[in-house]
Amino acid sequence: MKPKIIPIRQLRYHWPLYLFILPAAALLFTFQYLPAVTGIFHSFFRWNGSDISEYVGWDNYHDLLSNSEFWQSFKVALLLGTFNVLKMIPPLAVAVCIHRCRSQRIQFFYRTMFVVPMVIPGLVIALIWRSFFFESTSGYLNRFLISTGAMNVLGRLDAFFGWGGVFAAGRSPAWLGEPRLILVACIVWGFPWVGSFAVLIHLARLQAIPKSLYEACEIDGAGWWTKFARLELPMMLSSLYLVFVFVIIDTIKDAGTIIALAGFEGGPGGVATVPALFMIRKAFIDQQMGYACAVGIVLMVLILATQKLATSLVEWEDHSPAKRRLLQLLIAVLLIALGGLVSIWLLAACAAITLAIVWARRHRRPIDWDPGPSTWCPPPRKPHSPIRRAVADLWPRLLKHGYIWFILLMALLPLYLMLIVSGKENVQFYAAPATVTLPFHWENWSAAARLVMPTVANSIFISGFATIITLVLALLAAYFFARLRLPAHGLLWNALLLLMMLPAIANLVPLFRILHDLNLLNTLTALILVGASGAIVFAVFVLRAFIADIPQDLFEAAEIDGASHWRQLHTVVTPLSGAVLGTIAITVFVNVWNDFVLPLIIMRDQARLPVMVQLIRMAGEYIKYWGPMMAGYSLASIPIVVLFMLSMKLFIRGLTEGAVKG
Amino acid sequence: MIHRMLSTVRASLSLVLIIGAFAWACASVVARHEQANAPGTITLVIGHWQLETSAREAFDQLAADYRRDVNPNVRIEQIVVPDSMYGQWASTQLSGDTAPDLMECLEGHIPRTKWISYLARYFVPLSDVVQRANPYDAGTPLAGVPLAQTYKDDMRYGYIDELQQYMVVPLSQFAVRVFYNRDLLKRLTGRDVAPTNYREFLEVCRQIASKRDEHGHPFTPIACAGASHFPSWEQLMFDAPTYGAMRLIDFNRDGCHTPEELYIGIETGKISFDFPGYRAKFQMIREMTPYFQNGFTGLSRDEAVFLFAQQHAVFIPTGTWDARSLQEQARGRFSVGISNFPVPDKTDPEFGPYIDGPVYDMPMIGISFGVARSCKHQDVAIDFLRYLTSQRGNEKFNRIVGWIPTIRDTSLDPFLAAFEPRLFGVFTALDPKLGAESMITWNQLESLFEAGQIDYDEFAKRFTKYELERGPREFAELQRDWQRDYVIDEGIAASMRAQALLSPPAQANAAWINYRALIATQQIGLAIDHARKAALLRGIGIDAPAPYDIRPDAMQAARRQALATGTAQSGATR
Repeated sequence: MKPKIIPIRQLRYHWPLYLFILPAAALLFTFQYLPAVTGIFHSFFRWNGSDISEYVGWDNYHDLLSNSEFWQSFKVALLLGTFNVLKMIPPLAVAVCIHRCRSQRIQFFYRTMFVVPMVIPGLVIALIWRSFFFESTSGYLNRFLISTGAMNVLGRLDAFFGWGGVFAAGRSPAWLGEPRLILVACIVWGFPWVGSFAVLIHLARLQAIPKSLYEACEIDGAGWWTKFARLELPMMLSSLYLVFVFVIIDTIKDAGTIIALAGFEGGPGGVATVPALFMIRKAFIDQQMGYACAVGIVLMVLILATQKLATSLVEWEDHSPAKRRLLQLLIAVLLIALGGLVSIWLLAACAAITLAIVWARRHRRPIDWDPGPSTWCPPPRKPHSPIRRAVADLWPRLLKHGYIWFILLMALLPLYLMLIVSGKENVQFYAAPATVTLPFHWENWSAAARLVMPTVANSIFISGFATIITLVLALLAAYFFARLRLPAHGLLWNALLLLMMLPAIANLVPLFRILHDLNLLNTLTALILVGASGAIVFAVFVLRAFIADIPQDLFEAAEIDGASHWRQLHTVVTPLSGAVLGTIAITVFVNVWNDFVLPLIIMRDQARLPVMVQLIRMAGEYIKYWGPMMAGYSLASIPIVVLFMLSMKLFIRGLTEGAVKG
Repeated sequence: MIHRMLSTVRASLSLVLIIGAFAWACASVVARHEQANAPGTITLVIGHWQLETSAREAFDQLAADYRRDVNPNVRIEQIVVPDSMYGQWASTQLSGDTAPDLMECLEGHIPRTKWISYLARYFVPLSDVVQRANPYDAGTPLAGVPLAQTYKDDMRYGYIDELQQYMVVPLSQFAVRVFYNRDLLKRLTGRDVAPTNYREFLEVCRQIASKRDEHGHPFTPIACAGASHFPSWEQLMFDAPTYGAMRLIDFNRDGCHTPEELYIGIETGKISFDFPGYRAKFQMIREMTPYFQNGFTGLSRDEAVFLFAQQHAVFIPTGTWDARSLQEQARGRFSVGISNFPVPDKTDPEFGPYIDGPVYDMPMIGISFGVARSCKHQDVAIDFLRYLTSQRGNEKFNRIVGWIPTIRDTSLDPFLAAFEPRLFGVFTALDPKLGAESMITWNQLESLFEAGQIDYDEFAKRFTKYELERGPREFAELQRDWQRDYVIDEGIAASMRAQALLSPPAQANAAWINYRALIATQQIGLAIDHARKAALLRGIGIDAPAPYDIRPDAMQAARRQALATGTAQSGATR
C-alpha cells in the first residue's frame, strides 16, 4: 500500500509525525552521514588524525590510484568474491534438500541441527580453522592430506605444473605461512560454507511456495531438477539477489576475516591484503588518515557501482535495448580495464549467476500456473510394482539425505573439535587431537570463564542495548515512512536508501575521529550507538514494507476513534509486528555480537572489551593452552546459540511473514 | 490444554532466560564500572605486549608491593596486547588520546622514524626525572645516584638522540642466542656442541635435514618464525657483510647509518642493491633459509617454539625472554645448549671479502616504558616507574620474569650469564625502512624472496623501483616531521634561554651550557645535517626543505609557544 500524500497545508495536523523520524535521523546523522561527509573533506588533506592537517588537493587520490598495492588488493577481493559467489551454492542446495523432505519432523530436525553451525560466530570458526586446520606441524588439514595420500598426489601435481615445491611428500605445507597458499586458505576456510542465515532465508522463501504448485508439477511429471529450475529458483529470486548483493559488498568491505586468518600485514608478502585492510593499515599503522579517507571514498564509489551493475544485470530483461547496449559496452570496458584472469573469473561467475537468474525469470511463467493444452503433457509411466517403485524412489532420497548429512557433519566438525579440545591438556591434545581423551579437564572451563565471562557480559550488554535502541527507533522511523507521505518524505527515504549501500568500513577513519571528539573512544556507549546506527537502516527498510502491508482500514478506524499517531503505533502496529520485530532483534543482536573490527580499533581497556576481541587476543598468546582457549571459544558461542534456540520459531515466522521481502 | 500450558511455560522460560542474561550483564558492567571509578582511587593503566605469564605476574606483584609500600589508593591495570597487533593498537590509542598511562615502546612494531615522531608528539620527556636520584634506592649503595646512572649502560637506550631527551625507561636487558637441543644434535650428527663456523653449521643443518624420525618425517634443522625470529638472524648474522656500505652512505660521518642516508644513496646513485655486501647478505639468506621451518615467513612464535619443544627441530634462535620457558619445556626430556650465531669470518671463501669483523652484539634493552601525555596522573605514573627501576624493585621484577635486570649491582640467574653481550664489532648498514609504507613493502618483498618466489635481482629491481617512486613522499614526510620538532625545539630553546637569563649567577653558567648544547646539537647540528641531505637531493630535482625554511604559520606558532613558555618560566623564577 502506498502512503497517503499529505499536502503542506495539512501539515499542522500531522507535523508530530516528524518527531518519529527525529531520533533515528539524529543517530544516523552523527554516526553515518557525518563520518561520510567529513571523510570526503579529510580525503583532501595530509592528516594524521591529530595535529597534522595540511591541504593537499587531489594528491591523495592521485597517489592512491597510481598505487599498485591498492589495485592488487582489489584483485584479491575480486578473487575472493568469485569464490564467495560460488559458496552460495551449498546453502541453497541444503535449503532445497531440507525443503524437499516430506516429513515435517525431519525438516524441523535438520533445521534445528543447522542452526548451531549457522549461529556460531564467524570469527570463532575462522580462529578454529587457523589454529586447528591450517596449523603446519600438526594441523588437521595436513594430517588429512598426508594420511590419505593426497599430499603425494599434490606433490606430483606440483612437480608437473611447476608450483615451486609448495607440496612435497613428507613436507607439511604452511597454509598461512606460504605466500602461494594463503589465498587458498582464505578461500577454503569455513567449508562447507553454510554459515550465516542463508539457509534459513532460502528455507523461508521455499516455505512460501504453495503446495498446489508442487502437486501440479507432480501431475505434470516434473523431475527434481525441473521443479528446482522452473518452480523453486524463480520463487527464490529475491532472496538469492539479497544474498548475492550481501556477498559482493561483504567481500569488498570485509577485513575482519583476513585479520583473523592472516593478521594486519595480510599474511606473508601481504598477499591477502584486501581493500578494507589496506585502508585500516594506512589509517591505524601509518597514521595517514587523510589518505585512508580517500581509500574509503574510492571503496564506497566502487561498491555503489558494483551494486548498481549487479542490479542492472539482474533486471536485464526490463531494460530498453539502448540501455542494454550501454551495459554491454560498460561490461566490455570493465573487462578490458580490469584485465587479468581474476576479473575474468569474477565476471564469469557473475555472468553464470546472472544467466541462471535470467533463465529462471524467463521460465517464471509456469508459476502463474495457467496450464494450457499446449503445455500439458502426460505424466510418465511409473513402474507398476510397488517394490520397484520404492527402489526407484530410494536413490534420490538417499542422495538427498546423504548430502544433507555430509554437509551437516562437516559444518559441525569445528564445533566437535572445539568441545573435545576444551577438555584436554596440551599433552593430550598433541597426542590425540581429534578424539575424546580422558580425563576431561573441566578446570579448563573455569580458567576460560575467568578470562571470557566478563567480556561475554560486555557483549550481551552492548548487543542488548543496541538491539533495543534499533527496534524502538526503527519502528518509529518505519511508521513515519509507511503511514503518510509528508513533505520531504521522498528526500528522507532516498537518503536512507543511500545509507543501505554505503559500506560502513569506508567511514571507519572519520568515525574514529568523531568518536574521539565526542569523548566516546574506549566506551561501551560508542559500540552501542554505532551498532544501532548501522542496524537501523536495514530494520527501517524491513519494517516499512511490513507496516505498509497492514490494512489501511485498521488505521482509519483508529483515527476515527481519535487515536494519535503514537496511539496507532502502540495499539495497531506493535501488536502485529511481533514476529518481524523478533527476527530483526535476533539479526541485530547477532551482528553486533559478531562485530570485532570497530571494537578492535576503538576499545582499549581489558575490562570493556567485547568477547570477540578477547578471543583474538587469546589466539595471539605465545604459548597456546588449547584447552582453555577452546573452552573460551565455546563460552563465546553459547549465549548466541541459546538465544537462537529459544527464538528460532519466532525467527522463522518473521522471515516467512516478510522480513526478507526486500 | 497441557500442550498449551507447556508452550506457555516454554515461552515464559525463554523470556526469563533472555531477561535474566541481560540483567546479569548489566549488573556485571555496572559493578566493574563502579569498582574502576571508586572515589579516591587512582587507576594507572599499563599497556604492553609481554604475553609471558611471568611478565604479567611480575607486574601484578610489583603493583601489589607498590600499593602496600607506597600508595594504597593506586590501582594498576595491565592491558596485554599480542605483539602481532600491538603496533596498530598502540598507534590508534595514541592518536585517539586514549593511550595507556604507561606504554611499552613501539620500536620494532613500527619504523623507528615513526616511533620518534610519536615520542615527540605523545610522550612526556623524562630527562628531568632520570637526572634525579631514585627515592626508592634509599638505604642501598645507589642512594643519591641519579636514576640514569644506576643503569648498567647509563640508560643509553632511554635517551633519544633525535629528541635530545630521555623519553623511555627500560626495565630489562635482553640478548639473543641460538638455543639447541643437545641430545637431538648428538643423535643426528654425533656432535656435542653446535658449530659456530658458518660452513660447519650449514653442513650440520644438511645432515639434520637428511635424517627422518620414526614416522618417516624429516627433521627440521632450524625452528624459526618470520616476524619473531628472522630479525635476529638478520641483525646478528646476515647483515654482517653489509657494513662496507657505511663507507658510501654515511653522509654525516656519525658512524651510523640511517634509512634516510640509504635513500639518498639510492636516489643519488651512490649505492644500489648491486652493492656486493647487500648481494652477499641475500646470498647467505638463500643458503640458510632452506634449513628453516617450512613456511616460516608467516608463522607465529608459538609454532616455532612448538616444533623445538616437540623435538622436531634442533636449533631455535631466541632471546632471554624465552630462556625460562624453553628450559621448562625441555625439563626431563632433553638438555638445552646455547651458542653464538655462526657468522662467517674473514676466512670464509664466499663471504670473507665482505666481512669487516665480528658483529656488534647490541645489548637489547627491552620492555621500556614511556609516560603518555594524555595520562591524568603523570606524577603517579612516574613514581611507579621509579619504583620498578629501583634496585630492589628491578631485581624482583626480573627475578619473577626470568630476565636480566638493567640496574647495577643486582643479582642474576646463573643460566643467563651466557647472554653477556659482546660490545665490539661491526653492525648493520642496510635499513631501508624510511616510513611505514616502505617497511611493509620491504617485508613483503623479503617474504617473497625467502619463499623463493622471486630472486635477488627481482627483489632489488622491485624495491628500487618502489624507493624511487614512493621514496620522495616518505622522505618529505620525514623532513616535515623534523621541521615540526624544530618548531617545538624553538619553544624549548626560548624557555631555556629565559631560564639562563633569569637564573642566579651560581646556576646561570650551567643553564647557558645546557642552552648552547641544545642549540649546537639539536638546532645547528641537525640543521646542517638536513641541509647537506637537501643539497644532495636538490641536485637531482627533489626539493627537500632547508634549515630555517619554516612556514610562516609554523614560525608564528613557535613564537606564541616560546612567549607562553618564557613567560611561565620567568614567573616561576621570580
